[in-house]
Amino acid sequence: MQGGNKVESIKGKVAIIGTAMTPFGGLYDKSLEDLAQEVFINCVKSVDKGIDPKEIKAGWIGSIGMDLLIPGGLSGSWLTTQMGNADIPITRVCDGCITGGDTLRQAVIGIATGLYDVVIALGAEKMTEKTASDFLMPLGGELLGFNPYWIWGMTAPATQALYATRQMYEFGYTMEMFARVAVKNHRNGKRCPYAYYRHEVTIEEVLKSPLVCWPLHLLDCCPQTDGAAAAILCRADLAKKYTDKPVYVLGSNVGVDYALYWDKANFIELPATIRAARGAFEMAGVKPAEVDLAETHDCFTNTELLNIEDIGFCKKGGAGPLVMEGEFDIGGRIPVGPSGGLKTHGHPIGATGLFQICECFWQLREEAGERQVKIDRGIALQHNVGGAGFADSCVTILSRSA
Amino acid sequence: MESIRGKVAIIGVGMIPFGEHFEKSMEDMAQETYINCIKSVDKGIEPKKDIKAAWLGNLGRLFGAGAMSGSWLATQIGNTGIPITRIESGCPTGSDTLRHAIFGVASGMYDVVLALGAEKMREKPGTESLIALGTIGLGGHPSWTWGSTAPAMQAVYATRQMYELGYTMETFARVAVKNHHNGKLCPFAHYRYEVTIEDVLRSPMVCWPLHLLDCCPQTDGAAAVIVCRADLAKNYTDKPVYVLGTHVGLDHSFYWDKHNFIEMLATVRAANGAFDMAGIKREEVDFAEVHDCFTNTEVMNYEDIGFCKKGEGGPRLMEGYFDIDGPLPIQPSGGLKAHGHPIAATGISQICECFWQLREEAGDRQVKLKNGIALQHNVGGSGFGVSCVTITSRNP
Repeated sequence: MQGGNKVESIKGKVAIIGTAMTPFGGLYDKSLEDLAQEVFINCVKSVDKGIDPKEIKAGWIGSIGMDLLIPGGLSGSWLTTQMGNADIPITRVCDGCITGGDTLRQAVIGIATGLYDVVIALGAEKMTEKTASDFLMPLGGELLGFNPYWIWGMTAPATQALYATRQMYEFGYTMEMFARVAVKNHRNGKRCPYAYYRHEVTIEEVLKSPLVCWPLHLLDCCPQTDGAAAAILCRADLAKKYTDKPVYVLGSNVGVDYALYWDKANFIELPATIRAARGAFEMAGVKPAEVDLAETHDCFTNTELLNIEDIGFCKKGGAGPLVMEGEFDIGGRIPVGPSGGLKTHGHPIGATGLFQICECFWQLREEAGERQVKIDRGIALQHNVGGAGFADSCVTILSRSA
Repeated sequence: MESIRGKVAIIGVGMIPFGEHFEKSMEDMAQETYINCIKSVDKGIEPKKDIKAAWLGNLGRLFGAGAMSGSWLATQIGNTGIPITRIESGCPTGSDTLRHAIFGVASGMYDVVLALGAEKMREKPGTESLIALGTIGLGGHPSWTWGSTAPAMQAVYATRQMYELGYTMETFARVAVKNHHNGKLCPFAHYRYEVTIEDVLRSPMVCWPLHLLDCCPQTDGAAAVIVCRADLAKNYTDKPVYVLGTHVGLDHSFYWDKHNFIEMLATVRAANGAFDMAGIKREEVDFAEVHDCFTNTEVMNYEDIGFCKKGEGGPRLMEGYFDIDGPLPIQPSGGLKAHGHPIAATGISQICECFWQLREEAGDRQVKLKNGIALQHNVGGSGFGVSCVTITSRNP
């Protein structure tokens, strides 16, 4: 890490005591308000020994929403109305694709200050009310201050295609390797009741699906979906009051990079992820090899391979061959995306990081049913990366022991 | 609730003059502010070595230039080695950004952190930005499409203040007179001229009973603050300013959920929380920077914060109680009335003023200090349902 004094750890200070999410999908029958209310109620109900919602002393709402995705929460008070509680401070976090993960991180910091004993982090997003040309494209155009290269067509798949082609050129990765990520995640997603895509795909199907931006096919891309997810957190020393199986936060960190492409050192790694992961592992005092499962940000299949390497699960250039060997399957050395990931859930931006936290929580408590991975050390990792130029990342490390 | 009192200090602040900066991009404004902020640290700071995390405030996109995520700030400050988070929470975005920076330090995670807010409000006309924003703020709710813009919403309060408390248009105009007087003394203000009550009442009507000069202008601006662990503050300056308390208060956004139109529960809750945390009484505050987006709002703020009872704000204002040489100066900087309200920069610019005043560096507009305690306040968001109050002091 850059700088002098070491960042102090929050290890062992914060626990997650309840989580909930809505099934992700094209939820045209539900408003953003409906989604937030449903997930809030389910989250409160998920606390094993029960919780009075009035015990929640602060909240964070993650939503990009607003103008481009319509409708959206403008400020913390929006969540007040959905929770029916105006007596607590609530802040809206809006931080690119990592909004969900960073919303949780703000809640973690909130507890670590000692100010609040119990808090909620809730993310909600409606992505299907408008067509992509009406929001994802203008979003791209505006997020870099109207930098012209967006107008030239640098959409999210086009951006990741730059990385994918370099992965192919420098490491010999193939379209089959990218497709193998989709095969794995669809297989997992089929077993997850919250996933949007619940069907398996084969490598051939991915390669035969329409080309979006060479070398990425339609089935290499995550879908556009609506969804909401939430987590209730508390001071670690109070956790047993609410559940016998709390999940502890060992570390949570954000990493950033320069957003503009001419500032990038190369197109085979995302430095934001490297920085976020390094800081989170340092805080947690654990090594990548100790992680039992990871939910990473597979907005595109090639991105998952970048993530696996950037987080440190294997060397740069190693993920492609290893994914072909089944190393990251459920049952492999380190299952990645046991929920089916963004590939099958979609990426309702403010909710994404928090749905991954839900999955880590369920997996660590061995409540994931058919898609349960083998828990050895009881450590899970959640990761987001995105924003303009894929320059923001958030990594949170969870454990079933404090 | 545990207190954070005495744990966090402000060691440097920087802002740019607020105004119409058509010649500057958001990037230019952020860079200039950041450099000013770094330079303001008395004993110097090595930004890349010392600053361990940052929070960026920005509402952005509707105004024609906006940052999507924390990495935008990384580019402006030339530092990708730290975590940066973007906060966007209605009109208190600036102060809530600072609140998160304070939390970052109070959590024990980071020794020194940066909070920076920047906003371009002048690139688009109000109809494309503020009106559109309003419509979306309530989920595209029809009450906005019917014309419940910010001045219209405050006019609902202003008319009730007149009906229930006997306030007059002159009462509201007196706020403008006071704040323009102070703003004339502040080199960072957008409006630097005095107005009279007659000038205000003769200015065009925006929404009865609010005239043009009852409204704050639309402005571009940026402001930044560096905060650090209180026990490290003296490494950076002999005159740190300490954070005693900071709290966000909320209310339901929809008007049919409001219990009346003479007070803002968000402000009441934010102030109660902040005073509890600070462990001080209202009387101990030397001066305050409050959210005067409209003149009648400022009068409501006096009462909601608890500086006086409901209904006393107007008469006390007329007596000069809140003037710069009065017993409780409000808006020594000239407030939003003279600076405008570049949303994410507003709260942080008010903290800049508190910092300068508490260090007695405010020049012509310096207020007299007794206890060395200042209060900063924002209120806004959809349905004026969000408020943030931060209390600072020259003593820990």
